[in-house]
Amino acid sequence: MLPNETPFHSPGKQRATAIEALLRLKVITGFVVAALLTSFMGFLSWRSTRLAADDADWVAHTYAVLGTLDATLRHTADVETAARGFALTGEEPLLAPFDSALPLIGSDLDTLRHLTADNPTQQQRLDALEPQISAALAFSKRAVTQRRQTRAAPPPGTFQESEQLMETVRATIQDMQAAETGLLDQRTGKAKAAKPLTKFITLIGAIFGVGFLVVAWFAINREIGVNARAREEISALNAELEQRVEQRTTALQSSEREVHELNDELEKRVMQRTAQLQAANQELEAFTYSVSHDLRAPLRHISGFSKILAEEFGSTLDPEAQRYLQRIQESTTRMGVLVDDLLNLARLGRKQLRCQVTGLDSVVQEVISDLKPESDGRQVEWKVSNLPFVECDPSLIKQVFQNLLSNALKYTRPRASTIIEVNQTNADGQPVVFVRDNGVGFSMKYADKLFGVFQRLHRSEDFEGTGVGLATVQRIIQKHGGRVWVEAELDKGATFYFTIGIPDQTQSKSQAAAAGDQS
Amino acid sequence: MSSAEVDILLVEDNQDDAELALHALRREKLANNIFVARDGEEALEFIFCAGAFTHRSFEHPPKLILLDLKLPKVDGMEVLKRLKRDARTKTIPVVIMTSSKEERDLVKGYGLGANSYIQKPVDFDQFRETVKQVGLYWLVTNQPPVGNGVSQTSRKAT
Repeated sequence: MLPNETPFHSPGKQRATAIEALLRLKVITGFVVAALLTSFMGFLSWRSTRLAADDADWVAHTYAVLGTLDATLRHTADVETAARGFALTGEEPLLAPFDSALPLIGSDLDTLRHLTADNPTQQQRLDALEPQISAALAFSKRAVTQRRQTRAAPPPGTFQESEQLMETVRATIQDMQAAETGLLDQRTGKAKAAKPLTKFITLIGAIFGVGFLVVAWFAINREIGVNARAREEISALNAELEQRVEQRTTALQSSEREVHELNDELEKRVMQRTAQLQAANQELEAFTYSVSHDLRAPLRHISGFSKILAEEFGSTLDPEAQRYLQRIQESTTRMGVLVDDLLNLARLGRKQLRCQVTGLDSVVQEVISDLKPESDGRQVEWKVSNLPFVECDPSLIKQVFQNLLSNALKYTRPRASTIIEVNQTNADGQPVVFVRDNGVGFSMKYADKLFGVFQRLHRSEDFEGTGVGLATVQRIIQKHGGRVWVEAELDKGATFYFTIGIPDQTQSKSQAAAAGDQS
Repeated sequence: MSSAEVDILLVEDNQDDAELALHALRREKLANNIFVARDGEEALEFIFCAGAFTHRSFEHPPKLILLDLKLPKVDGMEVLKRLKRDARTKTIPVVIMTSSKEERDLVKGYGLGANSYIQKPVDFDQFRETVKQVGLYWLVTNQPPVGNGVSQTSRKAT
């Protein structure tokens, strides 16, 4: 993926994370609310049960109090009735209830005291009841004792007092019963009054619960929907991403294919060109060969037979014919040189350079020595100095000096005293070799023609030549990665400059020291 | 010209070249026993005493062969190759004389065992000088291996 492009997965992922977080929060909130509600409902239920149990206790308590009060009254009444019956009749069996009930009353009262311990009002009433019962029981006991002693029925009206005492007892007990019943009613009423609230609260709680469930249902449904939508969105984004990746891949593949095709095309063209070049080279080679072989042969024959003619039959020819023969000879020779020069130039094009470090000084000396025949009888001063060692093809660089030095020698021929200087200078920090003469020179306006094949600036009657020499020089220098140029002035001389490869500095110094001016 | 005892075998297809060479050799008195073969096949038959030359014997091989390269039927290089491959003929000096100064011809010629390689100069004076030097050198100055049968007559001829 390119660095400046927005990553596709990021918003979807962020969104999914946000949705999940929200969902979690909602679930937790819902869970907490549900827990609270359930606890509250549980509490209410527990409280309601508790209240119901309390009510039941209270009712039981009340009935226990009421029962005990009844028992107390009944027992007391039994004792009074039995005592009265015995006193009136003197029959012992009638005393049976007296004997059985009397011991119970004490425990009845104890029970009452215990049951109403929490109720000061009832305790007060009990405080009042106990002496009343004691009085009634004391009266009954007395009546029984008297009857046994007297053995006679008591006088009428004796039991009025007993009835009054019983009435008091009954009244007090009824009071207590009434108070107890009232208390029960009061309590039951309170419980009853509390029940609707509980019911209400329970109902509300139930409604809330159901409502919450419904809300939770919808919320969860909604969340599921949102989640599903988000998932759909993410998967849509993913699908889009995948599609784009696929598109990119396809585009890349097709561009790669294009590049391949272009490469193939290019390679094919290079091969075609190479083949064409090879064909052209072969053609040139064949041409060169046939020029060399086939063109030189007839020239040789012309030269040979005209020479034989001149030598063997010259005496029989008149001078004019001999002169013509001479011209034929000269032309043949010139054409031979021309063909050789042209062939040499053509061969240069495909010749492989065989470079080695070469001292230019020795090359120049060799050439000067070769040129001896041409400088014979002339006053020529050679000033050769300061020449470097360079990486070059020695045979080719010798040709350069051959051409330049023989040119210098040729164009200084009209001079009484010839000076030819071969030296080194610097141009733009690059070493430059130059060959300077004091010959006839030429006008600089023709300088650009000088290095062309067959270009000549002088008439051949004045200076012989084929017009190939400087073209050859240029070809050789260019093959060495160098440059050749000329400065000249008409009647003042010419200077040919050339650069060649990269000189070997250390050796050029030693050679500079060793080489002196030479003449 | 006797084909039995030959000093120089000149292999040259061109009539003019052959005539000029003979003219030059004659001037130097080296042309007494010269045989001119006009193509490679004839040259080989002459050397190996075959075809029209079955009457010749290996006893008298030529003392020098001047060989042109561009020849009809069998070219000069092939002639050279067969000569130098055969023990009976490989000691005969072969001087390639041709118009070409092609480097590959030079390399190939020497590689096949040529004893010398000369480009025919265009100028007839130079040509004559070259032919003279070659003839004198190989027939007079140079000492051939024993049994090569160089006759005293040809030496006297110089």
